[in-house]
Amino acid sequence: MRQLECAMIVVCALLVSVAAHGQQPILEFTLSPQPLRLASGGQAVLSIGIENGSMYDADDIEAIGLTGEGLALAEDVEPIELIPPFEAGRLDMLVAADSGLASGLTDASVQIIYTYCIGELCFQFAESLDFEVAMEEAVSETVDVAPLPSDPHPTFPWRTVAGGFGLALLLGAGILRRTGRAPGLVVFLLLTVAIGALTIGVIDRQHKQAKGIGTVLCTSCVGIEEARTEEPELSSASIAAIASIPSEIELIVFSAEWCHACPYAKKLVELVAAQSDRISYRVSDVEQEPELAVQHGVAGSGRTVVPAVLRVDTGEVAFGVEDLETRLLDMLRGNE
Amino acid sequence: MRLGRWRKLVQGSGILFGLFGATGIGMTHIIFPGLHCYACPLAVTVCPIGLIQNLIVFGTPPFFWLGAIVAYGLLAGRGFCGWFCPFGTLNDLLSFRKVRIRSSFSLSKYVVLAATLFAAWRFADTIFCKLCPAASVSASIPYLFLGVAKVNGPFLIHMATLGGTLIGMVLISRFWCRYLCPMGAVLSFFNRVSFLRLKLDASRCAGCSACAPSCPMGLDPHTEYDNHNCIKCGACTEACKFSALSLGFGLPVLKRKRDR
Repeated sequence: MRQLECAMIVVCALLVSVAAHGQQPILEFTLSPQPLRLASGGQAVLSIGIENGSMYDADDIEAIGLTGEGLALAEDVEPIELIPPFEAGRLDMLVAADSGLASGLTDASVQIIYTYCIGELCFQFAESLDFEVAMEEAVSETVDVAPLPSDPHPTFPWRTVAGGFGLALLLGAGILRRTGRAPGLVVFLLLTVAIGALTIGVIDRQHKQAKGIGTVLCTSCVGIEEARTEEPELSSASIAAIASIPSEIELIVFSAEWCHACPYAKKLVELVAAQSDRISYRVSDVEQEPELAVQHGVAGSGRTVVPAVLRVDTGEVAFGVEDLETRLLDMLRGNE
Repeated sequence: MRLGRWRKLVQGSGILFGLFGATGIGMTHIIFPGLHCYACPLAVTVCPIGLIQNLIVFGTPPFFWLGAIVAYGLLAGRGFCGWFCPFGTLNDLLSFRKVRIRSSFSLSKYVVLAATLFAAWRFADTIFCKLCPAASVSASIPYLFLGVAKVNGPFLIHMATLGGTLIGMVLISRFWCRYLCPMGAVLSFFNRVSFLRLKLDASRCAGCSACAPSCPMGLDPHTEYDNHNCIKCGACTEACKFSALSLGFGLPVLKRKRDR
């Protein structure tokens, strides 16, 4: 009994903690003034207060657009490079109204993007912050403006469902504790959890996500090699060797968004291609273009290893990033 | 056919299932009910421990994972360790010394599980996979021969963890399953409520403890037949001269501690 209760509490805690700590936006935005008062043809400053309440740095916070009838940004907004954990910043933007600004209150929104990284894994979030603009003569009352949350799964109330599951399990554990012997109830509860969780998982296409995780292997993720995070540099000998390559060569870099080792491979190939007009390359996201990896033999038995650099004309492939410069040079010299 | 032979057959099918990619069908949506690396070139299933780490890194609520794990747990609990897991089978092959050691040491596998999940969250990476000896066998070594992996730092780390685990297995039967396996820790939560269970007919039990030396997990089956470490291999049922222990499917029988 005690073990079952522990199991349920662990599962409950897992669900609730994942629901609470899932990939979420880490910044809180406050817009002022509310509403923004503007005369037709005039300009006013909209301030966006930004608080980073998380333990991660928020990088490159940038206003990328403004929507609203008769409204435009009067000048480019200076982005914020960094807001450290538990600190705050502010973006000021000069909003201009043209003659198209309607009288009364006008709905508007400003689009913000920012990035945060956990270790080497980075997430970019886009936020759309709603506010209202009032023509000077039409201002009558203050309207609360709240930023729209940017939910990575906007179509499904994950937190509510996970919390509900957790509470149901706790309730079940409590009932079991009271009843002492209740095998039928145990089976019923666990079957309910299994079927319910599998159903929700399939609806949210998590089975496909699981398959995708198993299908694409990042070399650094399973300990085949170490991810390289430094900026790649070419030796002068390599630069000379690349410049002397006589034939046209096309390379494809196969990568995945979450692959830790891929950025180095991409940058190195970019650097190599920059040394010679005869070398061209493109980057293929194996999750977006799985058939391309299969077509070029980078995938076998449904398995794709990233990063991989393919020389298209010979079909040669270099996997991973260890000693990649040398292997890439060998590959490029292959048909000399 | 004796239970032991049935078990060998099922264990063999577990290995075949783990290597089913040889048929060319490729990766499926199925989560493996044991520890088997999805990086294995012939794997067609997803490793549950690798998957949960990835889901933590991605911030995905693990509903599909949870559903599969609860279903597996309800079906057989740690029976999958004893009957299906290929790495468990490797443990069995090296189980020469069925020693009995203080059972509280086996709580270390929960520490491994917690550390695995915490490290995935803290470092946004699949740290356990870089150390996992099951991945050493089924991914690192095959990829070395396929020319994808090289003898480098990460490879040597894999070999070191594999070597240490193999030595442990030789010295203590089912060493990995007893003390370190995070999947064993997950399945053990369901051990007492699973349909597959070890049953004791108390009226037949002489209390002679003849079953104890047969247990690869170092348990005393006639008193610990519903222990979280029991892998339901059935070795004790064959060792009991009075047929007091049996293995079979049925509804779980839950007892409070004071009822025992």
